[in-house]
Amino acid sequence: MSSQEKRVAVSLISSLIVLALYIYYGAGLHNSGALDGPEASHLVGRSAFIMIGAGIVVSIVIHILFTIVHTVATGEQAGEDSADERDKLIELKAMQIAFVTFSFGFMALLGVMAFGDIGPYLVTLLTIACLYGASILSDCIKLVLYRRGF
Amino acid sequence: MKKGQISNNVRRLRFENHEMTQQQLAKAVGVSRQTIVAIEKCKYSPSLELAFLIAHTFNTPLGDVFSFCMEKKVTCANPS
Repeated sequence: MSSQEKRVAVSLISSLIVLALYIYYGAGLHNSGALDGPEASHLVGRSAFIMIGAGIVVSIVIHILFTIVHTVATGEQAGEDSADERDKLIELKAMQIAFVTFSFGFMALLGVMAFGDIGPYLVTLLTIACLYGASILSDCIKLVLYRRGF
Repeated sequence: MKKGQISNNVRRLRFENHEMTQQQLAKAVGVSRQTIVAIEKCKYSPSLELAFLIAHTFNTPLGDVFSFCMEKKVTCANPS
């Protein structure tokens, strides 16, 4: 596994953990009815900031653990490989697909908001979840492209 | 745009150049070993700059390293 693949795997694992925690938290807010109360905007804004912070911390912790396990298992020192042209093309391709996915998700949420009876705060939470979902899809595509060669 | 197939002789040239490893070639041209593997398997077509760099490393003209064919189903020159 190259260092670029390792980075993608770390990003994927941390995104999955953070998204799972966020969905759990968001579902809790929704079920308790807090999103209908006067504190809804504060709760949504706070949860987004907490998620960003938690994402960074989880990513750092997993990166450290992954590096230790990889070094112990393979005996290879973590290299400082910079991205080459193939890495950049894979990144671009994955980003394009993630952008399209997020756009469709966002449009679907707007549609639900326009024609359904869903509150704006829940839509905000779902939009953030959709953003993370697109990021996870992007990482999955990168891993597939790295495994296939391109 | 019409599509063709780019094949290459990178693997053969490596062996003709003192059995150069993929890692050594990758280091010489400044890419990862995985990129060299992908080029050899014809799964990735390098940029013009990288193609020239590879040819320069082997001290050979670009046309001896890479070749282009308009036919769609052409097998790679050096399938691994």
